[in-house]
Amino acid sequence: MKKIALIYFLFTLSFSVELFAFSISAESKIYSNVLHGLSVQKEIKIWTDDKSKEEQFAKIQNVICVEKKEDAEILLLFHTLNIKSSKLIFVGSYTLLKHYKQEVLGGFYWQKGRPNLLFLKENLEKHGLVLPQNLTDYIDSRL
Amino acid sequence: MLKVGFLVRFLLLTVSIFFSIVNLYANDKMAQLLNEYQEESKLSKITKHESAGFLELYTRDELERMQAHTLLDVFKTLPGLILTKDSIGTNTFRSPKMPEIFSTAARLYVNDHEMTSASFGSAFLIWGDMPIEYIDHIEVYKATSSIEFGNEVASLIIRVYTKKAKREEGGKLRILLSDSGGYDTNIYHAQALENGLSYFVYANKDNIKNDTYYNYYNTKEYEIKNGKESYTLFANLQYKNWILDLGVYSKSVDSFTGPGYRKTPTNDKIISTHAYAHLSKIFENDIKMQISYDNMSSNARFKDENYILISDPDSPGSIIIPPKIWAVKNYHVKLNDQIASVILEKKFHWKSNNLLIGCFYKYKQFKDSGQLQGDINYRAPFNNYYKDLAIENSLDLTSLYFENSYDYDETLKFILSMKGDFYRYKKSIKSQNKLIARVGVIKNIDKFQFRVFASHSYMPASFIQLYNDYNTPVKVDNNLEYPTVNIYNAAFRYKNSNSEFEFFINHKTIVDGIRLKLKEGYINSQDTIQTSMLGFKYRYSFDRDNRIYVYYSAGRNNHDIDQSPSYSYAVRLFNRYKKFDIYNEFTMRDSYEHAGVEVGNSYDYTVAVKYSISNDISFGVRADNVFNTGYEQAYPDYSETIPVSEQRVWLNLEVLF
Repeated sequence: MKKIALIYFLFTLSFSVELFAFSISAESKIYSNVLHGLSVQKEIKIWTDDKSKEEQFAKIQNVICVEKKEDAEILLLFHTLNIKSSKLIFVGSYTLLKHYKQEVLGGFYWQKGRPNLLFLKENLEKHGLVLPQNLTDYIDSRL
Repeated sequence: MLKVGFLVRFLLLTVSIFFSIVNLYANDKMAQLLNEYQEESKLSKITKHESAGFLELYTRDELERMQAHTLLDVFKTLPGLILTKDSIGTNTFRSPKMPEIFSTAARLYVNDHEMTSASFGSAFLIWGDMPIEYIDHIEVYKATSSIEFGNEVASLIIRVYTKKAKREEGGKLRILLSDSGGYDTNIYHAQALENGLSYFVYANKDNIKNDTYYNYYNTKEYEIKNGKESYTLFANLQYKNWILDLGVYSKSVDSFTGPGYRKTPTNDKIISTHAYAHLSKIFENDIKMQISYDNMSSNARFKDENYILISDPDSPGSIIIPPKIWAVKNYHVKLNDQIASVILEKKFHWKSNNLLIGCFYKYKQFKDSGQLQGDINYRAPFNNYYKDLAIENSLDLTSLYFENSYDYDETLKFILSMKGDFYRYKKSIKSQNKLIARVGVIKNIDKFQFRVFASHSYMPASFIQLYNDYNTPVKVDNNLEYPTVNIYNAAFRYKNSNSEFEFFINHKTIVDGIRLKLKEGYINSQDTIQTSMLGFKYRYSFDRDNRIYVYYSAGRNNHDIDQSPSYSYAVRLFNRYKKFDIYNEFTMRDSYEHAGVEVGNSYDYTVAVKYSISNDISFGVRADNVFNTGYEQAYPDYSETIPVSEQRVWLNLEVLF
């Protein structure tokens, strides 16, 4: 019994430490909060147009990067304009935030020399999304 | 039963560990996370080369909290270097105990563009006091060989990096007003467009009113002024992997004491303008190409009714003036440089080796014209002395270089770099082939790091030291040897999560140093100068917002030269309390004697306090040299000492939009 308990303890601890190790980057932590705030799914399927960020996103707990946009629940856009999709869209640049202002849920982007996080109230309401408490300070009705 | 009880307690314990860690992960406050992200994404983390020399880094956060508005606010805090001002008001540096550093020993870069003039071999005449609101961060490399930066040789490299459009996405207006009635105002705007083009544009206008000092001769009073009026324009355009920088800095400065024999100037001005364009392209195969063009001019009008002594080979002298020397009242010199350059570099990355190979070609054209006039003449029957000068020359400079860093294992790194520079002049000046080599070892043992470097280098002479058909107003030598410099560095560092201690030692030998004498002109010194410096710096971060830096440095030389302080202490303190940013800076330097003038210990205390009304609006006060006891410079033929950094208060308004 003690051996089983020890194995269980080590497994739990290692999993926790592993999770903590994954959270080293503040950028990953922010995207983890955003993705878990936007989705209620157990497994969040995302598609991104920046392949260099896929590895980072794949390390976030319960997040899977998919090959095709159609298979994703959330599109994370950093470069691409004019994507027509009914999927949830979240962007990583101010230029894209302005471009997709009619449908985008929000963005994590640089402006005025500092990083900003913003969720657009009207677009969240269109999708019937209610954000958790830790993100509500970042909801605004305009850019 | 006991076993079940133990199991339940054990399950509860491990589950609580798991959830407490998960909770810690999930409950990070977003604002704190955004701050952490800003910290980990600093542009300085991408650009700095810690193995290139003793690095002093000024991050954007620090520059903002210092409320620094010109490069001089940064330079005066540099450990191991003493910011000074020469007799025509140009800011430069002195090493401990030493006179001003050789003009080509220091180079200044804005992004990848070198700002050095071909004529006088220094960037500081024009750019030493540049406004820095458009600058993101500043890196100063001391005791470097410069090969890593793939440009012309120097042992002190100052690299300033501009703000990037993709991070700004908006604009900023800044207005500073000083207690002397001066102002410094600027505006910038940046945007990334949907077509892939991003731009950052900046404009600055200032009028820096410094104190006026007085000199007296024959019962007459003369004003020694050092005001500055300037404007700066800068644009950075980026499209895919193409980057274009365009810049102009134009200024008019008073000539300070001027070059006169008795330091009795009359309304002298130096008007300078530097315009440049720099195009870079980074190809996918790690090849970087840079093409640039510079046009700079400097128009110096010196007037001194008590005469300026000049070199003139034709002069027979007089009762009071030695032969080959003459005296004028008006000294007007106009310099014009044009520089075109191409740089190509490629990086290779293998398992344990990183190799950089590169080459550059520079064409430098130099034109000098001048008029010298005085009311006494050695050429009878003329009543007035007058000489009209016009000279022109050019240089083709080619350079080949490589740097290889080899990781023997995870803790031990060897660095070898070499560079060949080939100077070919159009007229008269001797061609030069020069070699630079640098070897180094970096060993990491847990939190400790040891660095040892040795480099063999040189300092090129500038056109005004090498070429002048008339040998008037200064005598030159077409066959001057470039001074050879050997530098040996060692450093020991201990670093943990919130503190860093570094001890460093540096030894330098200079052979064939260049000196200026009125009669002989520019000559190679027969003496070998050896200088040694040691010091430490300690940094401790109480938390993200509060930190302290402590520095000490001291130097000596083998010739008992005592023209500047031998040691200095400095403490810099950054604090944040609610919406207040508070910066304190204290520097102490010891006494020295120069030109027969005793200069006592100096104590410079500078403070800056900023209040953020909102995320976008802040208001601040910066007071320099609060007790007016800061470092002062002594000058030949002038009995007073003059503060390099004056007692000054600036009010500062910053608005982001």
